[in-house]
Amino acid sequence: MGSLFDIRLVFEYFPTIISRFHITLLIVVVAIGVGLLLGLFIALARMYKIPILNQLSIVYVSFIRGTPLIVQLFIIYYGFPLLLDEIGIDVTQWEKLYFVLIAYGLNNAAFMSEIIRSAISSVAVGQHEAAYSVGLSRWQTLRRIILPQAFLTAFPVFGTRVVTTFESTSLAFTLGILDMIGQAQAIGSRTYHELEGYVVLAIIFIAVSMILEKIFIYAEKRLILNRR
Amino acid sequence: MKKHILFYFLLAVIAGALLTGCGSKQAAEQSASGSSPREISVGAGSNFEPYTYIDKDNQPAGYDVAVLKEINRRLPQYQFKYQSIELKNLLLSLDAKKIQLATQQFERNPDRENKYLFTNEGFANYDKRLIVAKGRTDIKTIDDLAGKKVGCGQGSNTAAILEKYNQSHDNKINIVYVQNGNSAVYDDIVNGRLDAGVMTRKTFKRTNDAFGGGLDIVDDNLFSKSEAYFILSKNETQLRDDIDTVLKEMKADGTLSKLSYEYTNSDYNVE
Repeated sequence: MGSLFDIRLVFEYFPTIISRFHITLLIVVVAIGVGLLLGLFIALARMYKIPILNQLSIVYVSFIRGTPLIVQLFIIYYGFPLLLDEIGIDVTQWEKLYFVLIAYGLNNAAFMSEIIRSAISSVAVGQHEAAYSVGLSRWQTLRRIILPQAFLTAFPVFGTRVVTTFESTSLAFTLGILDMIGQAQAIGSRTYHELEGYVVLAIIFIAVSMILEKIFIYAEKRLILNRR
Repeated sequence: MKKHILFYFLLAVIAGALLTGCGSKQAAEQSASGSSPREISVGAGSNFEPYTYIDKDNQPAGYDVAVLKEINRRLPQYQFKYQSIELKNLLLSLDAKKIQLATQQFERNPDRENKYLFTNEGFANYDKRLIVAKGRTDIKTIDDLAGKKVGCGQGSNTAAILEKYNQSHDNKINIVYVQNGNSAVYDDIVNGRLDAGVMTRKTFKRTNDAFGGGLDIVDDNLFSKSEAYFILSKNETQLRDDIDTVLKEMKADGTLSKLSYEYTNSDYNVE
């Protein structure tokens, strides 16, 4: 019948695999969205040293950054429901995708919080003092003076984070999510041709990553030009 | 002010937790009292054509799934719900109560029997033999594997047998865990990264046909003799007995043979 690699199959598989792109996209968008919101919250808790929340944030961030994403996925998908089961909440039959979205969101929150925190710290102390001296409140200072400046510093790192998240979605298949990777493996085991699927994946991932990078570089230039 | 916010936040969290908790309990009671069929979550392996794989419509498919669907047809008191899970996470999913029944041509072994429940009726012959590169003659029995690199799936019974061999022998087999199904094993053996693999005669034929015939099967003796069973969580004895009864019927009336021919081109009880 066949051989190990057949170039025609690359073209044949392409539409099937790209048809699962929305799952990958969903994971990235939710992860970045949740990450930004929760990350800002964590960063502020740490900046303003809010009791308890500050300590919790430190432990949380170092746990997430110190453990592989795949471990977090397994803990949230397999471990967490057992824990909730003990107190009478049954979530074991939830859709897998929810667990994956939660895991990616929580993971990104830790990284985002560090990006935001470092960006806020990079704004000179004098800016805070000047804002307070003209009578702005803490929230007003943050919103009108500090965050716009911090945003410029954070933006390039944020772009890298988006690309990294996009690539890390490949781990979701280990829980049985049918994203692009899952589709490629499913085709592979069904038709006994796996390599071709991976070639398709490589092409899609390189293309999307390059597009994302270009967009971010362009946006960065525009932002900095507008500010100066 | 800040304290107030924290207080309300905690209150909301607790209230939310209580509400969802009560809600799920009510739902559970309802389904127990009503006569609606009991829902059983079934995990089927994701990459073992023709037994368990994911079909063109992204649904679990294969011989195992077809047999289960027929069983479900004859047991209207249950409603099977299928999902595809990688082999190495199937048993973990049973542990975590994600599923109540798992299938990917599971063989019995003592470790598994301690933790899980097996059906008493098997539904496929699963005698396995050693697989080597074409023309290679130095490997005939499991003892010839000592010091050689042998590929097997993580969490498979082959892995369990090889690990057991290593525990009781000084001259150890070099076990290599393979992730990506048959094409990786084929490629590794043909290119000499692995010295041998272990397959059933049926899987060997399909793999060899698919990739160009670079493998040989050791005909002289069996690597292991066994059958494939469905595997269930420890407390599902009723479901196990029901499935056993139906499997016996299906063997008697020829349905199982028919399904086996449809998916594997051979009868369920031949090698």
